Amino acid sequence: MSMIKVENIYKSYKNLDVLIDVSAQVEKGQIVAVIGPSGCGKSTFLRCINGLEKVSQGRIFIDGEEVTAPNTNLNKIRSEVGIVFQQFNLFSHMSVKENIMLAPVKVKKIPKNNAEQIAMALLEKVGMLDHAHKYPEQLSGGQVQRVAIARSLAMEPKIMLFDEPTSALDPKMTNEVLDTMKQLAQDGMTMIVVTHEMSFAREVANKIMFFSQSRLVEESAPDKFFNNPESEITREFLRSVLKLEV
Amino acid sequence: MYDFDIKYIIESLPYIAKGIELTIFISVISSILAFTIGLTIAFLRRTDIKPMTKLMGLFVELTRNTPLLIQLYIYYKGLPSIGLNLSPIACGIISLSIYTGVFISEVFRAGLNSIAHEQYQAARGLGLSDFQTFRLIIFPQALRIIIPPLGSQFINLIKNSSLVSFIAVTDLFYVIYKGAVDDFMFFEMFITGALIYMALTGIVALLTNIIEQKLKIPGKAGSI
Ligand SMILES: Nc1ncnc2c1ncn2[C@@H]1O[C@H](COP(=O)(O)OP(=O)(O)OP(=O)(O)O)[C@@H](O)[C@H]1O
Ligand SMILES: [Mg+2]
Repeated sequence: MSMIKVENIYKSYKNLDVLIDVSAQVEKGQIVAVIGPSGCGKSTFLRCINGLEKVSQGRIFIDGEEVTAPNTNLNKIRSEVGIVFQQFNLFSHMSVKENIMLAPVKVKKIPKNNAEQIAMALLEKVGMLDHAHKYPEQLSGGQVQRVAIARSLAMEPKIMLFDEPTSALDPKMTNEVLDTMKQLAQDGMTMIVVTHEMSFAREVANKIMFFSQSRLVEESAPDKFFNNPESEITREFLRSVLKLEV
Repeated sequence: MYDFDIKYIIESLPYIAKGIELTIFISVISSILAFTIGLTIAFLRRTDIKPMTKLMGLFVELTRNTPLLIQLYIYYKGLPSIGLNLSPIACGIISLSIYTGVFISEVFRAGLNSIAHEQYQAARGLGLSDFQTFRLIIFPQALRIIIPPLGSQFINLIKNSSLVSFIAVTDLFYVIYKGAVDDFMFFEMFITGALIYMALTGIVALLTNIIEQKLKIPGKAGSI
């Protein structure tokens, strides 16, 4: 059974179609990079997966549970799917440690002591143990993102979703965060990463989803995607971004 | 030159004290109610229940665009006609609470709107319920932003509470006015009254500052 199954979803805001007939599958342990031009619906696709946005049509399953069913327990599903955004991830009125302990204590009802141990172990994992008592405004952008990752991991998610987690960062901080994500990938986490980092997509991902104008245009292995893409739209997109990267 | 009659004021102190007591009583109760009303209206206006948000919007406009004094009389004269006989003090508290509550709801609305969208999504994404997200994430951050304007609303409430003297509530203003008019002690009473109101509002301003400092988030802009 696929970890994520997306069946013919449509999403529109008023009369703007943001996703048109998108179907996809993600297997356990797979690392999917979602790429495409600005405004093509990547973030919306990601937010539909954990039900932060309601689809207009179609069905989505996570580990066999239907996200899009009317009577589904969305809070439970969301607690099993981590999500990290480009910015404003951390709760600014809570320390790093409190940010991480919040959901385990309030959603999973884990005793505070245990949650604290989990938080400390995860902070160590992302190299932020020394910053446990700091507040988000006292951290660099890269540190914030690593804490955000640790916070998601504290819920022991089946899947991690990333929406351009490094777009607001300088190259050094970008590498810090990408390293943390690579480590996650090695641990076998199922990940969907919306990204503009072509090198990350090429090296770490084992599947690329390319969106253009609200449609999933191409879905293939990185090797094929970068060297031998099927559609003309993809080739054009790759020409423009790779030219920028050189 | 006008002779400032200190002796008169000292003799009036027992009455003035009674007035202060009542003004404080009305202000404290009304502040608590106004805060609750304000928060409730702001919360209801954020739901996606269309009739509710429309109704609340209308109520806010009606209330904040008419004089408090008129509202005071409407509650004072109107409630008995629908069979609700309340004391003048209760009517005063009701109108002050609703009037200030509406302004506070606007303060809350501005504060809540200033919280980044990602904060909701991050909270919901972790599995927190709608209400938990509001209570644990959005409200505490909005509260910190709105403490100064919230303090101003409570200061306004104290000053506005003087209007209840119009419906024969013997608050601080009533006592002052009576002394001024009955005994021709205009300056004595009005200046004393002004100083007392200033002391009362000063306490609120001071408390606002203390709370603002206490809740300040380390590293956040504006803190040292
Ligand atoms: N809440 C919303 N209401 C109305 N329109 C929206 C909303 N969210 C997104 N859109 C629109 O939907 C389209 C797709 O948005 P989305 O954020 O998914 O794009 P994206 O591919 O993530 O773009 P980017 O690379 O710039 O982040 C855009 O045209 C956007 O303006
Ligand atoms: Mg986006």
